[in-house]
Amino acid sequence: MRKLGWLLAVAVALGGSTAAAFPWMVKHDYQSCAVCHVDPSGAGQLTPYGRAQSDVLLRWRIKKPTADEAQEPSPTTRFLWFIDLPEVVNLSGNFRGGAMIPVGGAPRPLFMAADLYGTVKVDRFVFHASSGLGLRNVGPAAILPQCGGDKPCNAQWVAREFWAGATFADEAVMVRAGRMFVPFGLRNNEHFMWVRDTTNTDTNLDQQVGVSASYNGEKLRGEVMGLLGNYQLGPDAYRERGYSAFAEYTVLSKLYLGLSSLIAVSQADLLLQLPQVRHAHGVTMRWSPLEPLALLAEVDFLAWQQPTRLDRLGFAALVQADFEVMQGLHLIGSVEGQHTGSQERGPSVGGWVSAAWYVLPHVEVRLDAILRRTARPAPDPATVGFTLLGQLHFFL
Amino acid sequence: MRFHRAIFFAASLGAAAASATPTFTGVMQTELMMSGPPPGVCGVCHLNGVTTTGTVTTPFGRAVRMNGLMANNDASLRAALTALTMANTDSDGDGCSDIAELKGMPSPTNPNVATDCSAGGDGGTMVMDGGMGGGGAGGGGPTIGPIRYGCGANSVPELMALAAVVALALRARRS
Repeated sequence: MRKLGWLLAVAVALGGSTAAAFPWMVKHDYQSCAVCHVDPSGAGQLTPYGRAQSDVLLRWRIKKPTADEAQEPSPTTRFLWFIDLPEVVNLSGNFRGGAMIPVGGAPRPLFMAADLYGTVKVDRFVFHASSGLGLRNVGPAAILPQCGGDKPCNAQWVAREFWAGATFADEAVMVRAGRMFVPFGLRNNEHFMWVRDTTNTDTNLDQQVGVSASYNGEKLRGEVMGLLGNYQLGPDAYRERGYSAFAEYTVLSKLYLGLSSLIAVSQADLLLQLPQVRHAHGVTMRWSPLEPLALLAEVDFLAWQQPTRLDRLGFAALVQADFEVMQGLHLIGSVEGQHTGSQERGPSVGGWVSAAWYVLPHVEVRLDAILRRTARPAPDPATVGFTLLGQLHFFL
Repeated sequence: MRFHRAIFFAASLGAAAASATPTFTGVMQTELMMSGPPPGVCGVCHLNGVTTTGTVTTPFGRAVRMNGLMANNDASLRAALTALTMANTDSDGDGCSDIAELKGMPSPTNPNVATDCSAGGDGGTMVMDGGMGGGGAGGGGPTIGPIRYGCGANSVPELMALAAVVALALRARRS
């Protein structure tokens, strides 16, 4: 308990990304996310198997492990490092904090996530919930206190996911209902990259209430979700209803191509409060041409319709290369672009250079250098910003 | 939600996010050949002049929205002003059209506030019906309040739905 208290204190002191998902696991021959994550499409809480694999495949080792050691997870992979839980119960936590350092500006501490996860699996039935504390801009996942309008969302009790589901066909199919991640595109953990932000599909705040069916087969995986809206925001006119879906097919060994589609209807968009139909349709690719390298790509076509006209057309795109220098140390380069169709002069473009170091069991240290040229509507000139983002991440 | 995040990251990454379109008042002046900025400047469209999310709720603001105004799109504002002119929209129901009030000489009057606009107007078209939200093509529709987050924003239905699913699952397991 003292260790937990210490961890909490550190997380609070560092004071938003949350659920981790690693699409680059293709390099280890993992197409499906369901074996390692409670959510069958990835991100969020790990299964006990996923927890073990995170130790075997992700953790940095000072010395190269022997063949036997390389296959054997450390006993520290358990909840809170050492606690054995009954088979039906899966508890874990996600604490992420750090600092954002804009060049020419003051460092800004970030409290990104402090969530606890709980899952109960009885026979074919799965019940999952997460809850925690959120600081700043966590309104869409907030439970209490109420915020928005003239009340800033500064410190909120949040609940990002809570759902119940049942598995069928030897766990290849899962049907769920509740508040879940929206199935769309690459479920990358850089949640404010443009492909996630402009499609409203990041794993931090864009969960929706709905009903979903997912499939994880040998060559094909996918999920279809009926969106019923985010009931943690209101009035109802702002809630989006529709569908979101993705499917990914194994074309060749370690080469996966995917399609995503989302159409969401709301009675009021956030800016002009006009009825809106929002479209996002895209393609994804995950490819590991060499053992230590994974290439990821996503291109999304975006459209916003108002009742009597096509409002805007846009796009978002990402290409990412993840190179595992040695086990536990990843260098990641990303190039992204977007256009929101709002009279910008050309697209916005950005580049990320990142390093992720899984230094200890349950501990990740990450540094991102982000350069973005953000196009502004005419006549404003584009803005260029360079930011360093440092993160310390504990997953219990 | 997207908007709040945009502000956060724009501030963080050095980009400048704005919730009002800064060119709109200039477009109105040019398009309507006004002698100065519209009354209240941003307040002609934004409630109390506060340019944050969900504040384009003045009667005139709603009227231009319903005639196709799009954020950061000057052409959409020109088209909306043309539509209001054609429809003689009178958002405040004072008998003078919005466009006549804005073009009024020597100084424009506020199309959101009922005044004796005929005294200072430059021959603005009088309208005999319509009124707030109902004139010609200008009807702004009901005002939607600002977005709210949290339990008070109505999270009960989802909890009830989840409880129902859990109950059904447990019942199925028992049987």
